[in-house]
Amino acid sequence: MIVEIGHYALVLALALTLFQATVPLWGAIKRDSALVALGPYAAIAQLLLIGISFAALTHAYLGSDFSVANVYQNSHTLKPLIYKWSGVWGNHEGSMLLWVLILALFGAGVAIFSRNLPDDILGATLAVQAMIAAAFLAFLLFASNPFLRLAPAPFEGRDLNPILQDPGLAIHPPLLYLGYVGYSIVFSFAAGALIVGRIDAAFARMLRPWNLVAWITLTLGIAMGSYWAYYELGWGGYWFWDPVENASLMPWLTGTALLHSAIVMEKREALKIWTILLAIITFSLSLLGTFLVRSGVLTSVHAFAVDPERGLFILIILIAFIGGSFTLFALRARAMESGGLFAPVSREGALVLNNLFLAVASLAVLVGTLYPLALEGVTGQKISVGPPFFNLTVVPLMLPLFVAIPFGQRLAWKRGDLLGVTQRMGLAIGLSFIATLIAAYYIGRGPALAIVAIGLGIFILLASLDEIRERAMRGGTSGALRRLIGLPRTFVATALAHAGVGIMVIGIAFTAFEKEAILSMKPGESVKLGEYTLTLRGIAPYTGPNYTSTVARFSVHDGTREVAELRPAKRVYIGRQMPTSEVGRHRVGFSEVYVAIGETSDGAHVDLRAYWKPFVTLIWLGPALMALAGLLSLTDRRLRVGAPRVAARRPERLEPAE
Amino acid sequence: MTLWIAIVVLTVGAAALALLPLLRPRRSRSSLEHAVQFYESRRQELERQVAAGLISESERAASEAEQARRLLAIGRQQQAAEEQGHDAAFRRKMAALLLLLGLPLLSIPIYLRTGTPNFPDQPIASRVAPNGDAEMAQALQRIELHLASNPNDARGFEVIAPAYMRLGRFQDAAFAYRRVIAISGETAERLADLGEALIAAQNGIVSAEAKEAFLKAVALDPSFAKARFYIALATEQDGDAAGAVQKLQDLSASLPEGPGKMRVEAELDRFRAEGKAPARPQSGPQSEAGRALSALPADERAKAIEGMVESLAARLSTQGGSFEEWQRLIQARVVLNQRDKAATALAEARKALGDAARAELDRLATSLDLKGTP
Repeated sequence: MIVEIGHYALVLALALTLFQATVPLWGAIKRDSALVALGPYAAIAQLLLIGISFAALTHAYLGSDFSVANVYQNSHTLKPLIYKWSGVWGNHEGSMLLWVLILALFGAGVAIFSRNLPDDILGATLAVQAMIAAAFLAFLLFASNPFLRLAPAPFEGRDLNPILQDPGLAIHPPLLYLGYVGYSIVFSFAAGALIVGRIDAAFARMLRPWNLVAWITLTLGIAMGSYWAYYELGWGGYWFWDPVENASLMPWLTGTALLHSAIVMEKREALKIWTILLAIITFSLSLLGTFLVRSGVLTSVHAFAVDPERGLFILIILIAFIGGSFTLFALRARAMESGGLFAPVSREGALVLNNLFLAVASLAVLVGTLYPLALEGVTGQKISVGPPFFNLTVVPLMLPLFVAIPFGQRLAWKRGDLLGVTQRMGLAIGLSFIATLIAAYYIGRGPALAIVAIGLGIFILLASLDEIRERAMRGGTSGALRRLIGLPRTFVATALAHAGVGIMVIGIAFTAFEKEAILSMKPGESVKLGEYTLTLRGIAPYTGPNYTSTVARFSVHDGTREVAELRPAKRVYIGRQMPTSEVGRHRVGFSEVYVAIGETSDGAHVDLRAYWKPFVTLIWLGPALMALAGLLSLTDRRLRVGAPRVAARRPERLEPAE
Repeated sequence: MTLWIAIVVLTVGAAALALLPLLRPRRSRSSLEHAVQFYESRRQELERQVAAGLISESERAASEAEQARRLLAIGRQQQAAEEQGHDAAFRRKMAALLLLLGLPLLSIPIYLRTGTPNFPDQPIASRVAPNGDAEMAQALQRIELHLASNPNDARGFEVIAPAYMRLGRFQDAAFAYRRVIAISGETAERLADLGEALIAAQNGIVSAEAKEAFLKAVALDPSFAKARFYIALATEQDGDAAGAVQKLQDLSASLPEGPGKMRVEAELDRFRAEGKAPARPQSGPQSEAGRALSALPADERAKAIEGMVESLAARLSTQGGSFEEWQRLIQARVVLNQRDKAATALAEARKALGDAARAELDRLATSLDLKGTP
């Protein structure tokens, strides 16, 4: 009965979203605050209903209720409890249920924190959010219902994909979804503002916390997915330009651009049209990502729902929302007056530069991801666009952007002084030059470009952080501490986030210096990896609770003594006969020794790939710091105003153009 | 009943929660009010920045001038738009009506279409049923656990494979048979079992792997009937109906009277009904009807077959019948592509035959991929 209650709650939520999609909007247009006030309560009721539904499905999973087809297909009584639990969203139907749950969570979030929102925007925003929810609830109920029943109920389920039996699965998809779906509320705000025709700094201020939340979670979700691929799939890489990864990277790039352009809009009333456009594009790309992953048009590890009918359904949703919002945008574009003017060399100008590069990079990823699909659709020819394409397009776009980060951060609003900024960065530039030389000395020989990239990373890191010192010291050492404490948290957050970029760049640059060995070894043999020597001690079978595995035992020697023993393994899960790798890793500071084994055909040899990966963990620590900085910025609820720098000579020319 | 109480509570609760603000109105915040407050706090923030020494007095003044201009612009905009409607009460009533009527009128019909009310939860722990199925599930679990730690125990896999087949877990059964073969070697019997599991897993299609298993089995034991039977079916699926009939007839001729021969003959009957094989040469009441049937034009033949099936259905539902008769009816329904009626017939058969034929009916339902009502 609990399952059926969950099913009904989902249907009821659909009916309620239709109400929420119309009545508050009506109120917003008629400026009737009583009607608008119905919106927040409907949003909260919607969250409760979908929550009940999700809880009912979880209950069915935990109790191994195989009369629910979804549980039968994706669970097993022998599965450890945590994977029964994470199995709820480890499949198509369940993950879509999580999708709408998060959608409702954001809607209710706006409802709860709505006290400071004006009636018209609140009503329109909640209505648009409800429209999105209605579309996806309909998709869930009519095209991928997780509550379909089986009679007679089987006595055992079909297990879960063993690759997905990992703690990473418990956290990675929900985080990624929080980010993806988080941009829905950003979109709803933008569409709402377009509907009521109120696009100004106050709107950017309302948008800020939601924009930040979506960005933080998407950043963490992508970083965690990358880390998971690194240690679970056993390929040793951190980013593969897999279409599913690209699908999450595209909204991240435009979302990052949005984060920056919204600052300009909030502080300076400029870039309004562009900000609204970015909000629409970012969510459109999130929807596109959902479509790519869910429709099965892409063949990849992630596309577990290979069903053209579902793909068509999502495609229709996609076209309706993107088309609708762009039409709305076209209708309102003329009503949006442009805000304050600014010189090309200014904080605004730097942020426009940032936006340009991020948007073009996102476009490059989009082309690289969709071009093979389009080509296959038109000519039937199958090609694959791999890392070389992306490395040649996205990387050159990112490099100038990275160089510009510390400069842009220091430029004044309205008109900046590039020379002065460079002078102020003298210390940071000098220090990073010395640090790079030291690093180059220790590395010894290597590709010059990679050393330049390491230098760039160090420069971003030091120059970003140095601004904090610089600001505190401005006007002498006396009172420096007071000024340091008085610094807005958003300012510190900017410096930290940019430092995170620097850390990530250093980590990526160091991959050029990794040592790799791919070979077949017998027990007793050794292989050298940089300063470390890896010796195969033995191969032994091992039997786990629901798998059998072959474990290889390696000792790691650093020249003077044995520092670690690694036990990488190849597992075969009995339920599905699917092999998975368990890699062996030994961490030294930020660096790692990494071993993954392959087949052991004759029992005497083992095929393996071993790496020495210097500073590899920086690749994920950087984004983690970026997300942390976002969190810090989120705690700063102060208003942000960009005071324009007054021109020295002709103040009468300062009029902001209206 | 409890479910319907829950449905009423949910519906009324959701409607009540959403309509709550009509009783306790929200403090209205017009856009202008919001904008004034927003720019006021921006002014305060600028002052704070001046006090903290972050910006200069002249910067503050320039910024404040900008703020003032913005606020004026918004004020003008708002004034033009600010028109309070007089029909607020009407709108409130409409909204309430929309919710109170719309919610149940939409959601209950949709739920009745997509949902399965009165279908109880069946968590595995509660399924300690009197019929021994649960005991079997527990036994199965014990064997699975045992095999997980002793993957080379051929006997265990031999025991568990038929159990998997009975439960419809054909993939697992195929895996178990493969293990048995890998551990204890190939015999005709084991290969044929593996092939059968593979076919069941593919919904009756003889895959290349399955065919290979049967060919190996026949190579080991040329007289092995089961393997020859499936090879004949594979021949049919390869498009060679005549060859398949030939193989089935040879097989039938080599078999003694018994269930095995009946199964082969039933298959040959199917070929005849589909017009892929010549009518049976010997005479007999059954084949006379068959000959008469095959002489009819195609559409009349279909009608005649349907008529026969309907009369069989009518007879069975009024007078009852043996398991074989029910089986014939259900299979005929499936062949005629009347899956709904097949399911109904299955349910009727369950009722009519009771516990005695339960296992056989289960097996039949699984092999035809039918869901019966519980």
